[in-house]
Amino acid sequence: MAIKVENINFAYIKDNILKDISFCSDNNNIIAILGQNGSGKSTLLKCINGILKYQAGQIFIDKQNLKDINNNTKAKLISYVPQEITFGDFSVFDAILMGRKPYIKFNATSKDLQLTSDIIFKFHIENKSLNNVNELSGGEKQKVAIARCLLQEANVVLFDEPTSNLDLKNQLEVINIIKEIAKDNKIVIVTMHDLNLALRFANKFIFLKDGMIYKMGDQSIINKDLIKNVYDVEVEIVNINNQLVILPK
Amino acid sequence: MENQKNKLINEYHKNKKNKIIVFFILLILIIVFSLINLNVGYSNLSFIDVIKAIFNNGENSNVVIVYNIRLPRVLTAIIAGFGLAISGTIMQGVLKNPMASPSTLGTSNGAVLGANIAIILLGVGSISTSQGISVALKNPYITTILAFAFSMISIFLILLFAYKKRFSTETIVLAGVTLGMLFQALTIVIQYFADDSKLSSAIYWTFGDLGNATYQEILIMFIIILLSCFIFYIFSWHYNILASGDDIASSLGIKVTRTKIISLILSSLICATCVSFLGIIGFVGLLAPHIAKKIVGQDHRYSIIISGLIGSIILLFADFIAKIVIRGLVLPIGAITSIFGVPVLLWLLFKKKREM
Repeated sequence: MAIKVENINFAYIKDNILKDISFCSDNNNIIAILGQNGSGKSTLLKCINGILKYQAGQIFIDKQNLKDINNNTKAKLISYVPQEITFGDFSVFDAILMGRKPYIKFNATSKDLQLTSDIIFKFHIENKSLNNVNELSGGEKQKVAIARCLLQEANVVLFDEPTSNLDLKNQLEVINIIKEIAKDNKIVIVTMHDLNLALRFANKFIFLKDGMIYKMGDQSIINKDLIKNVYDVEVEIVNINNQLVILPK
Repeated sequence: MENQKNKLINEYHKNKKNKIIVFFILLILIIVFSLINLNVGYSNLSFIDVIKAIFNNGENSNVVIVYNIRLPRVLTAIIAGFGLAISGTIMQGVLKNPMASPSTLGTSNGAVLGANIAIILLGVGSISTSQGISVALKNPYITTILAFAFSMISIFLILLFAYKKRFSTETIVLAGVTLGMLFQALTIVIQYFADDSKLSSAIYWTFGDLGNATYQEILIMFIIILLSCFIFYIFSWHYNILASGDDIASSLGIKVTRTKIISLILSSLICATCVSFLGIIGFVGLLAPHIAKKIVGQDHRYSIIISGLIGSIILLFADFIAKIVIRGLVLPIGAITSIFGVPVLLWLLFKKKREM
C-alpha cells in the first residue's frame, strides 16, 4: 500500500491555493500536515479525497490514478473525517452504518450490520448505539465519525483537524485511535494546528506555507528556524523524556 | 461479547420493524379516511349506498355520484397529498433546510404566474370550482400547460444560478426564495391590470381544488409520482448521507451534484404536475415531512413513504373539513391545510426546541 501525490495544483477561480505539491508514503505511516491558517492544509486533504478537483497533477494509490476510477471505487480506497461533524437525525448505529455505503446496493447485508456492531463495541459506545447521534458529546461524535470512516475499509484515512474541538482526555483518546488505525497497514494523513500533539503521534511531517511544501521529513527536520519561518513565531524546543516539546517564547 | 453484538443487531431490526408497523397503521388510516370522505357530500347517501355504488350496485345515480364526483376527489387527495409530501421530504433532505418545500422554493409561485398569464393575458383556460363557478374559455389545457411550464422553468432557473456556485444548498434555497418573490411580484402586476371576471378566475385557480382533476389527470399524477418515488427510494441512502454534508457524501462515493439535480427536478416535476391540475395546495409539502421525521426519524428509507402517507391523510382530512364546515359549500382546500397545518408545525418546532 502506497500513496503518491505528484505536482498537485489547485486554484479557486484565479487564487492558487496549492502549488506543485508532491509527496509519497507507504503504509503504517502517520503524516501530519502542518502550517498556518490558510496555508492549504484542508484543501490538500479535499484534493486527495477527490472532493475538490485539482487542475493539475496526479494522485496514485498503489499505482491506480484516482482520476481513472469512479467515486465508489475511490471511496473504498480513501476515507475522510472532516473537521465539522454533522450527522442529521439518525441513530448512532445508522450513522456508522453509512460508512458501508460504497458496498451497499439497496439494503445493508448481515455483514454490514455485523461490522457496524463490531466497531460500536470496539469504541465502547454500545450503550448509546440506538440513541440519536445528536445526543452524544463532542468526543463521542468524533468516535462515531471515525467509526463510520473505518467501515469504508479504505487503506488511506484522512483526518481534518481531528482534535480541534475536543477536551484533553478526548484529544488523547482520538490520537490513540489514530495510532491504532495506522498500525493496521494503513496510511493516515492528518491536518493539525497543535504542533505538540502532532509530535506525539506522527512520524512524517509536511509543513505548508502559502500553498507550497516548505519542508517535509521526519521529526529531525523540526527546529526553531523552521517554526519561525512557517508560523512567524519564536519558540524554544525542549526534550522531555525523549519527547520534543515546542514552547512559544 | 458475540451475544451482546447479536443482541444489538436484533434490537436494530426490531427498531426497523416498528417503522413498518407505522406504515401499515397509516395505510389503514388512509382507507378509513377515504371511506369517511366517500360518505361526505352534498347528496345524502347512506354508508350502504356508497359501498354498493363502489361495487357498481344500487341506484345508478349513486354510482354516478360516487364514481364521477367523490371517488376522483378521494383518489386526488391520496395521490396529490402523497406526491406533495414526498416532494417536500426530498427538498428538505437534499437542501438540508427544514423550511424547503415546493411553496417556499418558488415552484408553486412559478405555477401561479403561469396560470395567471394563461387566464388573464391569454384569456384561455377553463376554471370550474366545486361550487359550480365556472369560466369557460377557449382552450381548457393552456392554463395547466403554462402552470406546469412556469413551475419547471422556476426549478431550471434555480439550478442555473446554483451551477455558478457548485450547487451549494445555500445558493439553491436563496435562488428559490428570490425567484418565488419575483414570480409573486409579476403575478400581482398581471392581476392589477386584469378585468374582474378574469381576476376572479385567476384567484379561484390559486385556491386549489381537489375536484379539478379528471381520471386521466389522476392517472398522470399517479404515474409521475410512482416513478419518482421509485427513484427517490433508490437514492434514499444518498439523502441520509447528504445530511452529514456534501464533503462526506462525496467521500462515501456519492455523486453529490447529480443527486441534487435529479432529486430537485423530480420533486419539482411532482409539484408542477399536482399544482397545474389542482391549483395551489400549500403546506402539505412542508408539514408532512416534519410529522414523518417526528415519527420515524430522518432515515429516508422509511421517511419518504411515511411522509407520503401522512400527506395523503392530511389532504383527506382537509377535504373532509372543507366539505363539512358549510353544508353545500366546499371551502378552498389550500386554506384548510394551512389553517390546520400552521399550529401543528409550530407545535412540532417548539416541542423540538424544548427537547434540544
